[in-house]
Amino acid sequence: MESKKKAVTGLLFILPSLLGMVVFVIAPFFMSVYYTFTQGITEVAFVGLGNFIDLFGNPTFTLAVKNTVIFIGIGVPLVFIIALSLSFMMMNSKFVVARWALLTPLMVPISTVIIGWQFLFDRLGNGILEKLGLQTINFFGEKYAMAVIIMMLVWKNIGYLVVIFTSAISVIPQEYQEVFRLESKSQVKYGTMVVLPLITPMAFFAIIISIMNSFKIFREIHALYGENVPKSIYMLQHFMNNNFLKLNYQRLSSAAFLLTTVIFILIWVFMKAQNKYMSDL
Amino acid sequence: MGRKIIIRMIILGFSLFCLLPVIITISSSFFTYDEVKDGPSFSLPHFSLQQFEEILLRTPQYLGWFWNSVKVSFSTLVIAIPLSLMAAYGFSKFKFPFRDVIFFLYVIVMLMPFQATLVPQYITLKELDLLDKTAAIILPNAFSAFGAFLMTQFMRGIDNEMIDAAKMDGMSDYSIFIHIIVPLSKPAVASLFILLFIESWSMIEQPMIFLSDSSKLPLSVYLGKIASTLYAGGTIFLILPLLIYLLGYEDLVEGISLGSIK
Repeated sequence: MESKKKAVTGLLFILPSLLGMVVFVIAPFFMSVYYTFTQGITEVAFVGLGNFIDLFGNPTFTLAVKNTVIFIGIGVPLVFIIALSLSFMMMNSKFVVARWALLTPLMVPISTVIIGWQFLFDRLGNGILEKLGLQTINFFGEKYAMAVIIMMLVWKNIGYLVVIFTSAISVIPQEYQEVFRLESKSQVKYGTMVVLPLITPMAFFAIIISIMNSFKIFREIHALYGENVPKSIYMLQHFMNNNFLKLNYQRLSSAAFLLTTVIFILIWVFMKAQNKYMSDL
Repeated sequence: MGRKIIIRMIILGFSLFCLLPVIITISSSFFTYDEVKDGPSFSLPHFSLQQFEEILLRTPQYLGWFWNSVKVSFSTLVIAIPLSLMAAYGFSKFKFPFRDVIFFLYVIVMLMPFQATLVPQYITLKELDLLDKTAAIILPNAFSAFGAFLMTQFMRGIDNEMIDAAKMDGMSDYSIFIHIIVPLSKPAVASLFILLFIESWSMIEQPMIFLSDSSKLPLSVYLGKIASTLYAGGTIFLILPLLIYLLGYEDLVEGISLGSIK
């Protein structure tokens, strides 16, 4: 009886939030699944998996998938490694100002800073190249766009990850380091052999957060290019946005459904891996 | 010894990398636009408030869009924070059927890029007749899966013994929430405030799709379109987030780390 009452109280507390979630995301999501199996606007026909087959035959879609995979596949590991190395380097000192500086990009709206970036690359960067008598580079053009936005992803997310890693490292008892010192003086060895295994569960979390944040690169790209996105950084988000504007809900819903499935599987795998890791410890 | 210097240089390098575009934007706003817009110039420009004059006195739309941003961000926060706290209390301190399934659902929703929930959100907003109204970019974010997630992670760390002791004293679940849980969650709330604020302050995707009336758009969408005063416009837009960052830095750091500890 007591536990039943408790269950009801618990549910009541999450209810307001859950209701909003159901109304704005979950229920309509399942409704939109209906779109994924139909085609046509005035005469709706059931097409089974037809939309998915169409998607994979659509060169724009495959391009968007390819670019998104490249972007996340390079960007996330890169920011992960940089942030982890910085956290190791700052492990034994405070570095108040540096930490403050590293986290600043998190708070800077992209609309503000995009002009700063343009200035840096186009005026300062190319200005220096010109003075040196070298050929100037169109940093924001087709060829270098991917590298530029990966750099912006790194810029935005280093600080957040450094905070996560630092807090994970700070939980490790100081004695570990003292004991390890008796064996070896190498800071690098201490990092990879002692610290890294201990913070692995947090690393899972950090990767998931970074993937989530990497989808927000849409903002940077929008601020830089508006509607004219170079082919080399045409992402899934653009594909979906464009199909929405073309009122092609079926195609968009099918892509959304696929993306949701992939993310679902990814989180599932991470959670399983994390649980397994925790129980092995 | 040499190694220590190299490490310091690397840290300094990355710190500068993080601050540089911000410094450039702010400092460029104090020159006349003509001086900073043309090709690479290594001569020193002249200090001027021309850009600020232009944007504050001669661009009436700017203040309107700025006010929209303020309205949207704070309305979102006022709804999102209490709801997140309540949901987190339910998730972390009660057992009920499907609790973990529902929480997992929250995690999925939280990680979903906006475009994946675009059609569902559009359908709902259309049904509720909210399209092209400011509420269309407030409500979907006010029910924040991320907020509930972050607060739950935090509250899981709150000692259950304290709650049991309060129960012994005859406190109800409701007054435990108000008098114990909420006050203890202060650092996490501060952190959530900052993270949600910056999220809606820099929002671009939703207003682009859900609002067509340009007078209702937040500044984040329009900033790039006010060419001649770009830097000053950006600098003014940065004041509020920067202020919040300065005041809330400690809480933000604490919140990010607390939110990530399993």
